[in-house]
Amino acid sequence: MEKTDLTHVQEKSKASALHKTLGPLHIWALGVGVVLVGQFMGWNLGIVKGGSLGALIACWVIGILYICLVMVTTEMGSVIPESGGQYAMAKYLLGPLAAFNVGLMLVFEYVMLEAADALVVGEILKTLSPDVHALPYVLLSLLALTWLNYRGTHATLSLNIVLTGIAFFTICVLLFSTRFYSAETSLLRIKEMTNGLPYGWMGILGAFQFGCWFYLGIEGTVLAAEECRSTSRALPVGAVVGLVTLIVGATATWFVCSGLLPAGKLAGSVYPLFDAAMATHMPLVIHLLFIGTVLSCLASANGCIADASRAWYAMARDTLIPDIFAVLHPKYNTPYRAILFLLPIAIAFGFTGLLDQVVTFSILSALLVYLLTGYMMIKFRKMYPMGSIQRGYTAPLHPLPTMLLLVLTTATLAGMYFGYWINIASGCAFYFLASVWFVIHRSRYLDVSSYMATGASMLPRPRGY
Amino acid sequence: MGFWKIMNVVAWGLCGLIAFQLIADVVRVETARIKETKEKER
Repeated sequence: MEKTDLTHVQEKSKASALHKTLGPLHIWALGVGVVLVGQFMGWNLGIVKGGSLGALIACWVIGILYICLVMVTTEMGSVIPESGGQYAMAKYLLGPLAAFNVGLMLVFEYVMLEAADALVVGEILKTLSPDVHALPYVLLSLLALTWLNYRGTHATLSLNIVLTGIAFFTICVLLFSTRFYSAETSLLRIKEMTNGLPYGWMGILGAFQFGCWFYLGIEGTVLAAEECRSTSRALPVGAVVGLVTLIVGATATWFVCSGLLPAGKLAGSVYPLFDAAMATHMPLVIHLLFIGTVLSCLASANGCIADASRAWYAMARDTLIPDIFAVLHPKYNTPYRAILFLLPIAIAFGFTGLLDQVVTFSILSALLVYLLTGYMMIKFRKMYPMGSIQRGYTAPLHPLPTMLLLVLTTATLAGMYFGYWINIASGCAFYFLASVWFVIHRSRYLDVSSYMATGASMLPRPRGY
Repeated sequence: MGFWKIMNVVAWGLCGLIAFQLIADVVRVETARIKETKEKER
């Protein structure tokens, strides 16, 4: 590329860059805010597959998967400080077709999660009174959060800090209201309520995918890398503290719910934490958990809108999809077209009413991204060995985290096959057809010079290229 | 009319207000962008 061309592209890139306003607390809120809803509903379906103990083992084993994932994505994300997270990594490490697929998977992971959140908000509000119509409140939640995202990331994620903090606080209130610390007065009866491992080790494998509910989306922290004031500090600190928060919260959630509700009832509950609060018969705790459930859904949907729109914007900016979405708002500097384009898609999927199907597609998309992330990490360390490039964070014990990530992701997909093989087949068929469209039609419009320009200016030529 | 029935109407009203504000802003931004592009072409 000519030097003048490169300078022009860099200037253009700088002009259309997102504002750098985020610190570690915002990254924590973005990660935990998207995920915390998994503690309030959904994870208990693992009890159907693997029993009480199976769900707990799945929670911890999948916690290991996510520790590895956060290590791997944070190392790569701290070197490639560009909007799009794993998408941006795939762009530089795997090429346009893989980047297109990773971007699409990320968008669907978050849009489906947003749709699931909207569904749950509607269902919870219906419990208040038979006169409540779910539709206006679901639409109001999505529109209000879209409006906030439209007006700026800083305000959006600042709101997420408050929502996430309150939701996490309600879990703590429930935990302490059970007086778990006192053997005499404790409300928890773990031995009587749990059912162990009714389906053995195969049950644990089946419970893995629902263990993902506790953490799904924490990897979204790297999506905001470009908007961090100091990427090398904010990203590792925010992501790691967020993951620790989630592991502690997940264990407390299992402990409280399994001690208050019989395994049979807990497995079929739509709102396990809210049902656990009802079992305490304390009005204040019940009201707080109702608020916590609604706020966690709103925080999750809020983070999902931010993440999905950034991935869509990044793909458009790189001409992998039509570049009409690669425009920032002149006043708020947000990817407003991407934000508005994804809103009706989320609403449409939300109103199918198929919560388990919507969430399974979200989890499947996430697992496929994790497989590609593991492969990218291996390639990344080969292209840029230690010492060849400045890293904001270095994943320890490489390649152990990468290998664990790949093995556990494959095991989770295998467990998913037992109950949802049609979802796996249709999801893979969708991404295959999208790839065919990209190769035959869209790749003709790919502007290779601008596609690689930012990376070419930031990263040295990799070894062997 | 019960409390929740009134709240349902209020929620619909707020939906309309936010949707209107979003659409109005998009129309304003896009109109300005088209004008700017035409001026540059001249």
